[in-house]
Amino acid sequence: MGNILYFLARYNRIFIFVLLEITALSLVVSYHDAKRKTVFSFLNDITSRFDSKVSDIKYYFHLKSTNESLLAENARLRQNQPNAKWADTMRQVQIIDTTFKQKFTYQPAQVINNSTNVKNNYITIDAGTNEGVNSHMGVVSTNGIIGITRFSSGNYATVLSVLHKDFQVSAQILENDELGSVVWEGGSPDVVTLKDIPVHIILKKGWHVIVSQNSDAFPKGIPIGTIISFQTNGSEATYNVKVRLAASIRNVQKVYVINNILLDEKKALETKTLESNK
Amino acid sequence: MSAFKTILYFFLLLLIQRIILDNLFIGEFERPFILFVFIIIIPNLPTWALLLIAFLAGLIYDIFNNTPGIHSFSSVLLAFLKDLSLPFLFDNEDEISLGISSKTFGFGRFLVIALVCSFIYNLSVILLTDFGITDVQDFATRLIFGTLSSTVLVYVFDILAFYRRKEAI
Repeated sequence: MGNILYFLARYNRIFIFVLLEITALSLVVSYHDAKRKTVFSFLNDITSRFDSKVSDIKYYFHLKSTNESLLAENARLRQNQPNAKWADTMRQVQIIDTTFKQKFTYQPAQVINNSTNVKNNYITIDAGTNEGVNSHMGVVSTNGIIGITRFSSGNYATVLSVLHKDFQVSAQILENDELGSVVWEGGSPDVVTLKDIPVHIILKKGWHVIVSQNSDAFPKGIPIGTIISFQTNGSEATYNVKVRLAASIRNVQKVYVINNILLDEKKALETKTLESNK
Repeated sequence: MSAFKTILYFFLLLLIQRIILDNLFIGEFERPFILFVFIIIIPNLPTWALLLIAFLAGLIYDIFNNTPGIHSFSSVLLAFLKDLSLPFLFDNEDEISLGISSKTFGFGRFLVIALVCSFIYNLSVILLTDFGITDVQDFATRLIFGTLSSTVLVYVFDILAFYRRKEAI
């Protein structure tokens, strides 16, 4: 026993070193296991409060561009109002419309922390479970797609930004309805890649890429960006299409969190179908 | 350096990292880390205390940065290597208490130490972030850029502290 104690005392620095490194490594590993909740959820509220103060200051520097994008969105929405359209026929038919019910609800939120300069980028927003924000909800800005919520605490939520290697969204080219999926392959934070477009499809620069109807988190038609270049991918039968994001993730200040009310029902049905196959 | 001053230094560095450096945008490169300067300037302590403080410092930054474990691992590694190499860096054992700065080593030798520390720290952070090397060219550019930019920061910080010391004399 005495020998063991002597041994421990003699080499204490090695033991403490190894112990601390194993603790740190286990943190790294447990975080990489996506099924577990964030390790620091109880501390996130404290750090978020600090980031929130910093963000309040930064927000003033972006007031002009935030206003402009809100104005642009308002203009777009006004164009779709019934009073902005005119009928080319005199006949009027009145229909009591009961077909449309709410499917998506929008919760506004302020970005309080944001990164675009690392491989896996996250955004923190100031809306959490108290506002009805849970994980896997779509996040958009006034200009286009931003990301998907990952974890949420009482007052805050983290968002897996488009600029994250795990992010993927089902997309569609507006002009020819071709379906593909959008991912980020690193590099510029303004450019993402649209995959799975077959080479026999005709593409043009400047065509618009939007969210397709297959997406769970986003309503169809949310802008993703515009095509800036495309090339064939060696021997593969699909294009490698580069898309410039419609929303600048670097400067985003105000976002909307989208809640798909029917998602649970859809998921339950899909799981049931998969299980019946087994 | 007193314990109070050391803690003050830590929070100053944390503020600089969080408010300025984390908001920097430098192309597709890794952003520079200044927090490991804390491990270098920390005064000579018993090994267990040094390692524990390094772990806590890394952990605090990890919590802010949402990267559990990565910076804790790197700072403990750096602190351990610093502790091992200290007796070899100084010719005279009495000088160890002076700590590592350009004042004790001269600018040239301090540059080498800063480069080595910065390299170790960045290597550890990048390897843990990516979980290995997937793209060699990307890995190399990020490592070189991260090392150089962090070294420049160490130097700026040291020069600021150096001139302050001079005025005090």
